[in-house]
Amino acid sequence: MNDAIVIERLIKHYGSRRVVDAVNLRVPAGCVYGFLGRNGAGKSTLIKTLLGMVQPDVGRATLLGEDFRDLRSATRARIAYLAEGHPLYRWMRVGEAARFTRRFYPTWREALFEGILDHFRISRRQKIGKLSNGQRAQVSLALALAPDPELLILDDPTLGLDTVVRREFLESLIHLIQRNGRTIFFSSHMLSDVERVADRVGILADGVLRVDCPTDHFKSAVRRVVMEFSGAVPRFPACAGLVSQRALGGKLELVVVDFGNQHRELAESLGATDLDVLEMNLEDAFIAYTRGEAPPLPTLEWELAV
Amino acid sequence: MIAALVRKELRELLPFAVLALFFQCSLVWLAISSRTQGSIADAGVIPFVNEDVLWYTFIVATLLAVALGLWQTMWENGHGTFLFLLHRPMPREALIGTKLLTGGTICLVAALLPVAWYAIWAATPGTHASPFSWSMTAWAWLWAVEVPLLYLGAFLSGLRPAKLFGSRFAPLAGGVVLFFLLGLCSSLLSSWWPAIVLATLIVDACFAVAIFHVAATRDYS
Repeated sequence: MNDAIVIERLIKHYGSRRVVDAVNLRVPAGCVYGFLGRNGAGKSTLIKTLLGMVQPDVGRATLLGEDFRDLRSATRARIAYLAEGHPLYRWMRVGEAARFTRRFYPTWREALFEGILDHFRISRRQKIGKLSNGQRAQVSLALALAPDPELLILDDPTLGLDTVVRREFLESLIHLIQRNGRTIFFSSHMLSDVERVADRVGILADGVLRVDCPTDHFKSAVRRVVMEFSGAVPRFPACAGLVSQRALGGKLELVVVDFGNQHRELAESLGATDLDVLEMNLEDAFIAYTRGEAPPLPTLEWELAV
Repeated sequence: MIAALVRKELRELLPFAVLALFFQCSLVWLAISSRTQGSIADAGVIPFVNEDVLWYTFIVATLLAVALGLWQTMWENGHGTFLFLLHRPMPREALIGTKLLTGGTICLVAALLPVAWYAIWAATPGTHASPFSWSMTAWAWLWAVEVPLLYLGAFLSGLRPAKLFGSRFAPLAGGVVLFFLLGLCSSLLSSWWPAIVLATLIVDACFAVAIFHVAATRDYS
């Protein structure tokens, strides 16, 4: 299968901060790829880099088989991009925005554009500046889909939308893009959005791509392991698959991918009195991946002593 | 594509252009009508030699040039619409070039129109009791063609990412200095007009190259 997006060792710094850290990623054609991460994880920077809006320090990428630094206009026309916040010219009416945009696309499908507007109950005469965030997102989607793109890149498309509009937006998106070979790469910090629509999931934490696998595999592979100790709680040694560890009272809680014999032997060597392996829901797994190491919270005991 | 882009730019710049042209036309009209009525205050005033109206029109034109340059860049930046615009399937040089040509043309028209109107009036026999020769107008044409230089400086300042109270306005400041230097040459050495026009075009080209370079290499984040 061809890859719609290939990213190789992409690095980007802002000042001394590494925002995108040697990311390697392949998005197969026809895939709906959910790109997750907390706010500030580097998702938008990576997407903007792919589209030539941000210059990377190192690395290369291809979109629809073409180098991202030299995308020809014809290739760019096959790629739809919804930027975060759905920036559109607020002085334009919806119809003017369509007239402006369609001049750039020989494949513009007016009937599709009209159909999407009708679906969302948006009039062409409405001024974009007067639309709600949700309606502006819907107009952006209509403008992006009308040229019949092969690849859609959406940067947090549901950001700022309420629950109902968000659900409607995603359902419409999935309904509208049902066609073989069309690829969607969308970033989000809303786990439920990704879970609902993505075939494949990637998790970016502090610029590092920590997960890249089918969504179902991600759900099934991540486990919480709780070990009990009679004495002091030791640190679990670094090993393949260990995502995080946390000491809670006399227990050590691990998040592990593909828990197996190697992990079990390590746990037993530490002298655990009890060991439980529990399933995790996607949200807990996502939090475990993206939380990072935080200093422990002060305890009530400490506060009372003060 | 180009036509759609030009229409969009014109629509965005229209309020500025209309306001500036209103001021320009009013200034010239007032000057002409006062001469026609032959007021005592205007006795001895020779068009293009010892009157002030064109200086006022140049002030309006320079303000317009700075406003357009900053508006076309900082507004797009502030509203995030560069991300929408630059993803249109058209080379980035063409997108930025169309913006520049539209804004630059408006500046040039706003600067040249009052000079042309006033010169045609002054050249028409019987309109005023003072001598007139087309060579007297050379300095005014030169000042007018130098106005886009300020526009380009403002455009580069708006486009170039830098601290607002740091080096952000350095290109505009450079444009102002060069504008006044070339303007001084235009007033004192107007017979050297080919050299002055050439120098103006070279400075314009340098600004344009810098703008295209920044547009291609900056981060739109």
